[in-house]
Amino acid sequence: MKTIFQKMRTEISWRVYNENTTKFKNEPWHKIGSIGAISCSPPLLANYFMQPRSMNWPLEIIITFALYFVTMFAIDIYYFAERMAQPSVLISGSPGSKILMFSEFIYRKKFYEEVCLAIVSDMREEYFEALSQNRHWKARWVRIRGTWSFFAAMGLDRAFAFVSFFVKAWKSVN
Amino acid sequence: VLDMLAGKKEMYGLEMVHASGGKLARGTIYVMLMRMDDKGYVTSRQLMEENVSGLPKRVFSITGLGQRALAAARSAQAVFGGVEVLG
Repeated sequence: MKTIFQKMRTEISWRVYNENTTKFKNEPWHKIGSIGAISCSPPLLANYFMQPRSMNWPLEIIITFALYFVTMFAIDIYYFAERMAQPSVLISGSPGSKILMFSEFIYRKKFYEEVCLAIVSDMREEYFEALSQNRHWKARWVRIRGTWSFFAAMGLDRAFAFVSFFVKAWKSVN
Repeated sequence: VLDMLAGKKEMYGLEMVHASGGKLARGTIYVMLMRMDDKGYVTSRQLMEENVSGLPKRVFSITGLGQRALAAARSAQAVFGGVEVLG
């Protein structure tokens, strides 16, 4: 469970970082800054290694790099906030598409066609009806309720299978 | 469920849930219908509406065996419905 959340979190943060840094790197002043930083670093490093060591040099370098990364991060946050403030179009899959993928793989054909497909079909009907009425919170609630219905159906099916197994076993014994 | 299906020609799960007024749940209706289909009380088919995109609906209708079972259940209810349990 921990790894799933970690993966999700990593993926989300990586996507956000990637989108923002791509935008950030396309800015002309960033290119000038990068060229400047790259061209300045070899003389600075050469100077550091050639000079007799003192306690101040490493600290200065650490502070410089820390400032550099903090600035980069601040600029990323600025672009992220700017992007969030703009109206955006969110493209997402239809509700229940993952459930169908999962259940098609796990369940027998009869259960998939008669239960899983039917539940997802009903959920989508209610979901798109709510969206067409511009009731986004109801659409979200339908999505949650539909997912819960699917898991309830799964549980009920297993319960019935469990009971019928014991009934058959009892009949075979007697 | 059989009572509702006896009244109409064909119904799908969500329609039954709405018609039951909260007595039937979305998660359990299709499992029940599948089991009734296994026992031969109902029959089902996929209904793909023309000019409507998306997944097909599964509609259910009552069979002759289902009608007999419903009639037996109604008569049993008529006989034992008035019995008051003492104690």
